[in-house]
Amino acid sequence: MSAIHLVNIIKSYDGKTKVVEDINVEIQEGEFFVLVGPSGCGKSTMLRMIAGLEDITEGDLFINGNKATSLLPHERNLSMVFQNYALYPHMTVEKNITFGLYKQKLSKSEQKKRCDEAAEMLGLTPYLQRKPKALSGGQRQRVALARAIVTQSPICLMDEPLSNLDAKLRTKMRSELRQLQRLLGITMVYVTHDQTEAMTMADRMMILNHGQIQQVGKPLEIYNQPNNEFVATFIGAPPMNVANMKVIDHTCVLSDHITIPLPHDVDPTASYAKIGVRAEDITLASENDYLFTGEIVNVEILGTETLLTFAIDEKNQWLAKLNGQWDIQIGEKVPLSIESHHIHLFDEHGQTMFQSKKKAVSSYQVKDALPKEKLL
Amino acid sequence: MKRKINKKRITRSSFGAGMLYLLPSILLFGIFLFYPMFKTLYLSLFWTDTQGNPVQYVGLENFMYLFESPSFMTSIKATLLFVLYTVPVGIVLALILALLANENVKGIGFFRTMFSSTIGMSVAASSVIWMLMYNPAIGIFNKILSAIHLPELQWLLDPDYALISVAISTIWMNTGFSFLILLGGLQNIDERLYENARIAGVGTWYKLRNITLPMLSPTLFFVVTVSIIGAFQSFGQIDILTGGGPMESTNVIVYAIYKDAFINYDVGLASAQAVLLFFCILFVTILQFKIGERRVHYQ
Amino acid sequence: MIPFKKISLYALLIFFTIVMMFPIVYAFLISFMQSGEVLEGNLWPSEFNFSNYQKAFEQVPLFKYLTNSFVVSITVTIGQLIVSSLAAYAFVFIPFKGRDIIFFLFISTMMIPWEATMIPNFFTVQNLGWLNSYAGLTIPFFALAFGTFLLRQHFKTIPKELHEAAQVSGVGRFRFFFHIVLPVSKSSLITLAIYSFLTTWNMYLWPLLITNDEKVRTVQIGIKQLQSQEVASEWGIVMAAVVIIIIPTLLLLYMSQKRLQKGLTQGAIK
Repeated sequence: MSAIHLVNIIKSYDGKTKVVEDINVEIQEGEFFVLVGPSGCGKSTMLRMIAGLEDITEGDLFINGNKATSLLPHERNLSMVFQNYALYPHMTVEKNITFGLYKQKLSKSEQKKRCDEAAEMLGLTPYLQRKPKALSGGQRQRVALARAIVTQSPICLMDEPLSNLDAKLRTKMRSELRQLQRLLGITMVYVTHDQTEAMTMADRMMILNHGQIQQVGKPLEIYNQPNNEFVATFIGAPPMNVANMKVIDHTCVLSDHITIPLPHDVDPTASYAKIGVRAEDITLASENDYLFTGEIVNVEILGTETLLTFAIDEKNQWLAKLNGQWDIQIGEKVPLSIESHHIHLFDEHGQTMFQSKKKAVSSYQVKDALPKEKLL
Repeated sequence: MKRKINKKRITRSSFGAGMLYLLPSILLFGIFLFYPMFKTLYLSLFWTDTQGNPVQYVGLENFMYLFESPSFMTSIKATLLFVLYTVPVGIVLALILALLANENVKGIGFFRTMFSSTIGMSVAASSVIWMLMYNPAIGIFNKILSAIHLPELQWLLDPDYALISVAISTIWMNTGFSFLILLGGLQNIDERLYENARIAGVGTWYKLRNITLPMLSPTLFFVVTVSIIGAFQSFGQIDILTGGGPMESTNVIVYAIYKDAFINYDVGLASAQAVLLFFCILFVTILQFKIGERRVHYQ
Repeated sequence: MIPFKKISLYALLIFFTIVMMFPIVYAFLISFMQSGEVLEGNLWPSEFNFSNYQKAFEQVPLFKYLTNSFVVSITVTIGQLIVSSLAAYAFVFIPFKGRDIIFFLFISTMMIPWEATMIPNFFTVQNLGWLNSYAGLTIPFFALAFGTFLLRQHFKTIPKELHEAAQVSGVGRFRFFFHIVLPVSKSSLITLAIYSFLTTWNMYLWPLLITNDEKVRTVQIGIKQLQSQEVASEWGIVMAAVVIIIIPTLLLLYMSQKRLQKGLTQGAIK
């Protein structure tokens, strides 16, 4: 049974323009489900509709198999963590954590027990009698988490909970959150605009743009097989390189000097408009796979990898990502190669027409890649 | 060594510039606030002629006289009662209005504007209107009383009712301001705090007691202080509605000062009362700072 | 929202609107009545004509009073804007030794009730020869701690980098104040201007003390005089005058209620 089921959900504030359009999705029990998209795409509105903080204009919402479309927020048996944590500044951490528990008809000692457990789990025990003002950003975030945990609701909604933290803490909290969710076995619906967060945390994710679902799936599926140009460029850092092109004589022509042959299993007569290539799929050419020469305009060495920027025509630049450290000078002309089955082809509306069949490397392939004696 | 000199030059020049920008304020405060305050303290220790010139140093005699004067005691009583009548009711009314006007429903802007109307009403104009409403023969209040078969009242002419009548009109005059400030305070409360409460499912009263009032406490506190000080300073409505009467029942302190200084020409005595007014307000202000620091929740 | 809840909310809103607006509407209705109707205690005038308004202008120099009130209110508004913005600028942008002491001095002015100083002030103004003059009605009010704090709050939101950039490129203090600080603080200045205008227009005690001559007397004193002269018979005329003097401030309030609310709340909670 699915924990949350959205059926033809539509949200409109003025009756004309739709903020969220015709959403259908099932979120499984115990799943970490991420809603991701640029700001204003409707992801927060969707979360707030699930919470009951916003009315659903059209469509139906089911929670644990029961119709919940017009239930009040507290009748939906879920908890929520807000972006700014929404802590009560005049209450102690303990009061904040146990806020509203009395509605569940819990005795004072039971409330205290749950609060202590949650505090213990999140390392808040020494701070229970403090006011939120006296806590660091990370600690406040944990108080907000604790408040969600003590309700023991099977579903937890999170609205950009990490975006007020600094980068280092954010990375740490990502993994902590993920572990916590597994430990408690709760269903998590998590909203973020940060694709890295989505990729690293999600069991499955939904990509939204302009209130419409772009794609739902596991992070790697989405990375490897994006439905359209938007998903291809939104997910992944650096974003996928995309360029307009024409197919002439079984070959993609990007500019005078850059051509990429179509893979042999592609229908050459279909109307392709754009080509997309991930930066890591552009490699330095050896003698037999040389495709074109890139004049390097910028080099970024990140330690484990090197990013090369080169011009494909007067206006557009592409990025290539090489493993390891490469001493390449700006202005250098570098021979480059792209395996033709790594390319993505889009029609003029940006819909994917062909894409690579890449999959995550599983362990036996790794074994093959290494000398056997080292493994044994 | 040279560095030091340079540094000095910079601070001195910014001292000069700073003072230049502050000069108009300092000058005006000096002439029209600090100097007259000290002058009031000074004059309160003297007998004065009708021109307000000190004639004889008398120490605290003016104050002694005041505390023995039944008239001044009446005035103190009237002032304190006036504060008591106007402040709590005024605040509660303004709070109710603000809570109602904080709901997000269609046309709420209209109601907010209506509720804040009295800010645009001068004390003089308001008092003249209330004077007519209190008129025993033709005013609306007695019309209502007789319509529901109650005895008519001599609102402003009866010593038992005059102060209450003035207080009612004052509450009305001040509600707009208190309302607007409280509404602003309510709107500054983070909506997420209420959303969290909705998910927890707590009741309306619980929300009011545990979220709204504590979060509003700085604003509420400010409004209480301003209202108390404002009540102490009331003058216009007394001057127009009752002239301090009947039987001095509405002779609040500022009106007493005005009468003693500009009608009876006893400047020394009036100054002594002004000094007492100053200390009363100082006391309220200090109380605000002290309590405000401890009890009020700032975000 | 549940309909019942919504209906009761509207019922309460309407009820309190009637309570709050009643005296104003009452004055408006009476202002159209002839004296006979007022004495009968009617609530609705038999006809809406402006004869009372005409008489109000004829019987007292209402037009002169209105002009005086406008001149005084606008002068005080401009004066307060200039003096307060200069002071606020110094408090935000010119650090110097002793600034904190002066800031404390400004705070302390809020503890001095103006009524406690009015006796010596009266004599000061008398000695300056400012009785019955615009100067006496306006200049004592130019410095305003509340206004300084309100503007200071806004000036503090101006990025320090803007000031530093101006210093680096050698823009003088006054140029920076005049060409950058004031324009970006327009909204606070307007809020303060509305506040100043409203409070000055409605000022009562001070004009009562220092004017005894209709050349500079303001409408607030004018209405008191009209009321005490006419009290027995002509309530219609008195109310017509009341309506005339509340219209400018009510209009100003209705146009700026939102802005005023924001500004006053900011000033209230520092």
